[in-house]
Amino acid sequence: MPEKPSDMHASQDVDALLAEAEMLGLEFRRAAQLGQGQAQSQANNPGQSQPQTQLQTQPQTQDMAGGDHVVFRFTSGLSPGQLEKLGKQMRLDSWILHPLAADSYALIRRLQRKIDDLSHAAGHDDLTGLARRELFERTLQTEVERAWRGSQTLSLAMLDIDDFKQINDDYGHPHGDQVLQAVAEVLRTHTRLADLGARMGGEEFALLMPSTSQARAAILLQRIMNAIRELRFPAHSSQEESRVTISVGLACYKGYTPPHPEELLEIADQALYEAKHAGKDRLIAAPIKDIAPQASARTLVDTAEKQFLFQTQPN
Amino acid sequence: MSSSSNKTLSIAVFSGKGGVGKSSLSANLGFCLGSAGHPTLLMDCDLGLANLDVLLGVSSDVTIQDLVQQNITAESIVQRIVPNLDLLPAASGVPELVEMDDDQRTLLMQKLQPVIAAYDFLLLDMAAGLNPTLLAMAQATAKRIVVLTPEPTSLTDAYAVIKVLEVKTGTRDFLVLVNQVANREEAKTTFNRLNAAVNKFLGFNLTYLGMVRTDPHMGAAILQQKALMDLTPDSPAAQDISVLAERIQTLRTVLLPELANAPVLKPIAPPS
Repeated sequence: MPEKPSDMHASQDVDALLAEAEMLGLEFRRAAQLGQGQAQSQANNPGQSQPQTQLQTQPQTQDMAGGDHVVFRFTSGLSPGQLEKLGKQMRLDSWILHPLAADSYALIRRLQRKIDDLSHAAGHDDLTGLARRELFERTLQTEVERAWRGSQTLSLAMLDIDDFKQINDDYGHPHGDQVLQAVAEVLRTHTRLADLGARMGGEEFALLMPSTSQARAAILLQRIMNAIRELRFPAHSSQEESRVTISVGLACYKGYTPPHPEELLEIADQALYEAKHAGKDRLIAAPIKDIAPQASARTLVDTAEKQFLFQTQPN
Repeated sequence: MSSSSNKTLSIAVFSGKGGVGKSSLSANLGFCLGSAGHPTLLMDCDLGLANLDVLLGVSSDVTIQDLVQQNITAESIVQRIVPNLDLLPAASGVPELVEMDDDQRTLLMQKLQPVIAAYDFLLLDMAAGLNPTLLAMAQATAKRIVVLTPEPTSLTDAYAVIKVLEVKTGTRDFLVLVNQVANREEAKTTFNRLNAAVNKFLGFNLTYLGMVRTDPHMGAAILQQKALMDLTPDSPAAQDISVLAERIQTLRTVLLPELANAPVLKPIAPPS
């Protein structure tokens, strides 16, 4: 299991903490020093522990001072702001700083922020900052449902960087990462607030465009393709700059038939496949399966009625 | 896209107000153009309350609305009225398709493109009033005919439609046809009034196409579901329509070089 960055800092933190707190004029002790036998092992190998600071006025009881805790005792009170500042200075990012004698509002707020950060990080791709496949598929499901309820057009595009393997082979993976990031940035800057761009994996991206007709989606995607064509990447080994293109498959759902998110993804994938086969660097829009309401909605005045109106003589 | 040059003149016929005789005029103009040896396609673009089929005494089960369903080609819905005159009928009020969205319109245009190239004239009979279909199609066609009568309400509505089309699509090229007039003077007065307003408030000029006199024969022809040109070719209205048809033919001859490099119907940009 790889070490988390915060754990790597932990060993120096424990000592630094003492020094820095002293500078701040605070008195505190290690939990281990409160009487637990594991004190030494914990001080030597704090990387395995999940340290926790507590601001408190009462001396620490023994059961709180187990191996999983490092407890500090501050004799003077700290404001939530100061506590936060202290936590930051001492790089206690993964610690929970709990002011026992204070209002817990500050703590809850901080926890909420942390949870927000973490859940955003869980839904988004590290390299590009775009949504991951899981988040994208969840959103797709919601939007397909919304389109079905409101008979609104939903457009879904799959985008894939052309010859990405070649780019990696020719220029190396750091260069490839740079290309992925630049393409992601185009997706971010050339879309609207309600659109969702995602990295589906590798060099494949997706774009969900709610309330967007095929005609409008095609215009938006052409703009994205143009912006990507204009990207230039300095190549280390050669003089010339490298360029990239993308292929795009577009699927639309107009909300006239019951919703099938997976089917829509498949259609977009198939259109992307066709775009690749037709020579890359192009957009292929799949025919819309539910372009109009079902034939059950028949004409208001049918042929027989018209004929009756004009050809039957009233008596 | 294709290398063969276009020779079809597309014209949208519309009015602000309903009941100004727009559909009868379209049908009879088509009839005239066809008789003069120009293959003409009439397209009923009143998707709400279509009536060209009734005026021409035909009925059809397959309509323009069906084109946006799968697996139906435009060829299969074209109806022959007389030699050189065909109709693309619409259904009366498929409620969900009274207004098409831009995807449906794009598909419709794609399907129409191979059919319409065979004709010299494409006449689009638009629904009365202001609607997205009119905004889209009036941009797509090469020319536009505004039909009005001397009635004040008709004049106001014609002005409103012209204003909306100018503001929304930048179109400034309109031919004006004054229907149901007593004589040429009344037609001119009506045109001048409309043109003066357009000139003053919108800053451009309209083109006078012509007039059609009030004529009881027209009503009689409609009742019999026959073309006026066929039933009473010597009636005043029929003669006026013949004159208009000649002007439209001349217009096409003049425009041919310009049309050659353009599609029959220009692709429509979705509203931004």
